[in-house]
Amino acid sequence: MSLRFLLFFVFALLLDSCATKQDSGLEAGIYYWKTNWDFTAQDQRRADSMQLKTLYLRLMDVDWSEGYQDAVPVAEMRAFSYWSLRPPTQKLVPVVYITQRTWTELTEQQVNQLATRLARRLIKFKDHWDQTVVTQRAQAISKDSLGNYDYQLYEASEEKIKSTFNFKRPVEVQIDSDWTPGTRAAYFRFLELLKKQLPAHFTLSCTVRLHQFRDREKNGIPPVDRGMMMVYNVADPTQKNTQNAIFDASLIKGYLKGNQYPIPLDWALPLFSWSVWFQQDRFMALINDLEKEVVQKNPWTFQHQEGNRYTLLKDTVIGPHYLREGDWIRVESPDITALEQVTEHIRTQFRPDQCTIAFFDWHHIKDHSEYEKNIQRCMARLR
Amino acid sequence: MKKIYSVVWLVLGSLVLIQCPLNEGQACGWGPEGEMARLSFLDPAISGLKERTPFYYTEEFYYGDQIDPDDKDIERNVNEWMAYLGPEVKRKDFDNAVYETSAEDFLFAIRKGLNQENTFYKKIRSNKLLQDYWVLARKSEFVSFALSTPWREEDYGADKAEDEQINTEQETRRLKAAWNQALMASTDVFLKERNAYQAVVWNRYAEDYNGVIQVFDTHLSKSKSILRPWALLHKANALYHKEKKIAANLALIDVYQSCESRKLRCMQGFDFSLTDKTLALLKNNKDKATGLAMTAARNAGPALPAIKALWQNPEHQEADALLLLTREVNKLESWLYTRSIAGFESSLKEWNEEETYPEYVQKEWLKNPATVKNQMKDLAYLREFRAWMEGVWPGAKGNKADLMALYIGHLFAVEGKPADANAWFQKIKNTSSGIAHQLKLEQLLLLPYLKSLNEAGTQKELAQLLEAWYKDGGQQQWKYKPGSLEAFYAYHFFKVGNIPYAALFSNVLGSQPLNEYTGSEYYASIRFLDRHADLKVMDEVLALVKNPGASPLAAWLVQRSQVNQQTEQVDGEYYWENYNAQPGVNQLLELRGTLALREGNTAEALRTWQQIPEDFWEDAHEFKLWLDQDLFVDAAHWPWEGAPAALYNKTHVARQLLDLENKYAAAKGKEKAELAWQLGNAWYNLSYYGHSWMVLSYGKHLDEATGESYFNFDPNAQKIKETYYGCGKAKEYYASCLQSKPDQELAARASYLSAWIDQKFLPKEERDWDAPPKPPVFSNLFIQWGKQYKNTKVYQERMITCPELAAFLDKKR
Repeated sequence: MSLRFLLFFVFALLLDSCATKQDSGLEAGIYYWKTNWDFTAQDQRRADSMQLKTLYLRLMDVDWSEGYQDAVPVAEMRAFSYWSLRPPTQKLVPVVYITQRTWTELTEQQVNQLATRLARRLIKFKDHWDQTVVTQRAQAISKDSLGNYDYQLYEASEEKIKSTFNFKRPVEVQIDSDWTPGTRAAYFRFLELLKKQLPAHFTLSCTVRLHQFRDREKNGIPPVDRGMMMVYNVADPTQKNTQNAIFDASLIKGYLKGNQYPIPLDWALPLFSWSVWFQQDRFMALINDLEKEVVQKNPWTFQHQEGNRYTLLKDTVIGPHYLREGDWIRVESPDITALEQVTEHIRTQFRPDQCTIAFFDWHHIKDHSEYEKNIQRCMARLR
Repeated sequence: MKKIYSVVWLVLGSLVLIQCPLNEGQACGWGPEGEMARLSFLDPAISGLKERTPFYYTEEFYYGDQIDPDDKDIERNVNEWMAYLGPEVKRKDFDNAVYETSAEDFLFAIRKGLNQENTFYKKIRSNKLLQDYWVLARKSEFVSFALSTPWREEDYGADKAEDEQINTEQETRRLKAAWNQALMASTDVFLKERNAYQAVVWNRYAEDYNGVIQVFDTHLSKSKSILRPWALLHKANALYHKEKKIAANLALIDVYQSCESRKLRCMQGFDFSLTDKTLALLKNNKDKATGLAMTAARNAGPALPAIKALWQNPEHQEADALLLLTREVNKLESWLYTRSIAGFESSLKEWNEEETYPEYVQKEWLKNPATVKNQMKDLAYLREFRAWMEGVWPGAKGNKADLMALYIGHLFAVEGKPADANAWFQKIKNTSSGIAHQLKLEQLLLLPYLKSLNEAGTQKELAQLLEAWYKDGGQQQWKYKPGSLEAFYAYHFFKVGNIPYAALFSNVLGSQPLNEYTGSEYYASIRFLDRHADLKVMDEVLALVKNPGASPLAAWLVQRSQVNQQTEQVDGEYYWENYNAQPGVNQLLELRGTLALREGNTAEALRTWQQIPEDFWEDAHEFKLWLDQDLFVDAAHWPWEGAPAALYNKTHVARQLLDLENKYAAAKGKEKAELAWQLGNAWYNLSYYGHSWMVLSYGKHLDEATGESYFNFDPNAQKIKETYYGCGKAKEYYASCLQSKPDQELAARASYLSAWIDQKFLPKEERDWDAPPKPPVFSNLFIQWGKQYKNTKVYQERMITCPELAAFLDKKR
């Protein structure tokens, strides 16, 4: 029995060391933007091999509800079960996305209430997550070869783990919402209230979009501890003249000018792609699953025109879409040259240090080995 | 592979640090679910009764997801609206606002003045009465589905009452009052009926049953609108709550014959315990026929008396009559085919571990007198039903006559009577495409009764028939059980002793619901052969798979086994899988070698495995991780000492084993003892109880340990019972070791293992989980061992590492 405990604590210490944030330098992180937690052991190994230190987890969306006449949670992350979840060894940052219309519709009192509700939810989420880690560690040593649990051993282990577990380690939570001068007052007030209601060891961050960075006088600086600079989605994809709505180095450099931002920044870079479908130059739809390599492998269907544009040579059904001969698509993704140009620009202009470079998002990256290389090259460029 | 059932099939415990062997892995169960074991070959959709779809025969009672498949009720409703709204409103705009926009988005759009281009929004904005109706209707829709606390704050430590955003009870009462008021206030005839319908609904939700009845009787009872049957359904519910159950049944019969989308709810709400009393009160033939049809369509057993009665009712609906005939044919197929082909007495609604899985005709229970009797009863009923159809057939006309001829012929096919079947098929006058397709299938069902499946010519013909049938749409028809035909042929080939083709057919349905085991694609493709093949059969299968072109049927099967399908993952995402459900040559060689080793023929196993390229084991062998342990370590130690041997490969195992066997054959004295000891360990470790069991088997289930139920993984269970489950070879080698005069330490080890094996077969007492655990029971051979080897180091070591044994011996002293 004592040998089991000894082995267990070695294991527990190892896990703990993995779960805590490194104190200095640039780190890579990742956004996990799905509604279900499905992070397998293989995913864990993959994330480790990419040296990803932080996982930004989409916890829920919040949207205005016409029926409730209030803000309500939408598509909250499910599968938080003490007994089934595999916690990642990465530092975890829960992210809540709040729609813009929420700020135009909520009353002042409802803004207060939303801050209270979210603070409670985020604290509970963190407690829940900690409990999951404790539970799983206790399980690991109390399970026999047949998969049965020795509950006495389990309870004893859980107590011991709790006595050494750092429940007050620094924790970051993030709000993602696109504010404008018109919604700024409500949003910033919400952030202030939220910050007040979170415990002292919680860091509050929020996303900052390119136009908010550039036009900071008009848009204001959010009252948070850190900002996450979203360096993508630079143009309107529905416009036929847009070159690359996801990532356009020259446009981005135009936004990223001027002094340092008044609050510390982390940086988010895109690693995803989509195709934009036009019929007679009229925007029809974004097609998420149609990637460059698929298009290039089918020259009898997609005829290359110039840059990232292709013309349909025959009628083609893609998912729910019926693309007709003569239509055209624009395949958009951040190419590595553009990414390197922008990261170089960030390095020389803003000298980022002590921050995370987060990539969006995990489900695109894990299926594309070239994205993994892109992460390495971006990180190398920044260091 | 399409994994319909979440199967986690092997979990190995890993943290066992005590020294007594505890090396059982655990295999979680697989089980068929509702309907997966039911077979039928007559497509009920051939009857053309789409609106009766929910009541086609199924073991699950109703096909609840098939309500009003043509949206006839919705179409009636929309037509009523479009006539009222006028030509300025476009149909697509109405559909968009009413059916494609959520209630909340609709209300948001109205409040914010959005969707200006939509003609429906335009129309209702110009008419306050209309707008009021739609706003209240969609608010009602929202409240119907709303949670009182969308934040679920009570789960997060807040007071529920404090957080409640919608008091649903209060809202229901408020909406009831609002709709009653709107009804009273409305002067527009069309809107008055709409308001009346909503008032009926919300009076019911508010449990004001008198209100429901009063509003219906006053405003809707004479309506021609689709709203009348819809509202009558609510009135039936109100009557039921007022204990007027027969009146409720009568109302449901009315609804059943007046609309499509509520038919299923009528059946669900009907109080069948009052059938006789209800039918007795029906006044006209039309209602009587409907009542009869409803009750017969719910009958899971033989329904011929009701069918006959319906047939005699002059006002029965043709659709009801055809529905009941179709159901009856499908029922008979289910009973007869499911029993013989899937191996179940009837379709399974849920998995019960006491049940056995399909093993075709081998299972003992198929010879059970009750099962035999049931089969005979079902056949007798088939003949009775068919004879009745033959009797009334001359009176049938047109499509009905053709369908009945098809059904009669089909029932002859089910019975295996090709001449009679074909005679009836020839009576069909107008062969619709559906009937033509069914007739192609009938030829396939009759072939095994006409020709020998072992003849190459028959196999060629079968390949052509299969190709033609699949080309014509195959099993795409509604509600066929995918894989039924392959199961049918796997069964018939098995029946004539043709294991290779039985296996190939069985594999085609590898990804289909009839497959018994879906946890591993690798194993699924060799499972059938693992159970039924010997080396000769393996050679025949290898010949077919290596050169499928030599046999048109094998070629068709290999081509047919290409799986390329979307599979849903747990999180609702889809991914594509491509593979062939037939095993590759290396997989077959791997199995062949395993069969040889099971027979104790190590040299043959090695010869077979040596034909497999080395990288197969690393790249393609699914169970390589179970092949990484040194076979020859002392079997008493668990986990075994030292690092994994990194063998990954059965060829290496066989090579080492053969080398040792050869040395053993030539050795004498102490050397022989040492070699026998090593071989004993090897065969112990290869057994069900050892750590290298995966060399001989492909999976393991705890139930196998009882020796009674070789449950999930029974690779020729009887054949390898002695070696694999009984540790026979290990016992022989340990005995040989002891006879070869080993030193005391080695003798102590070998003797210990002999006792340990003996212990495996002691009768096991059922554990009483409420009582404290009892000390383990040890073999009496340990007593002798304790006395004989008390002074050895092995004895001392065992006393430390296995305190339970020490305690046992202490007691026996």
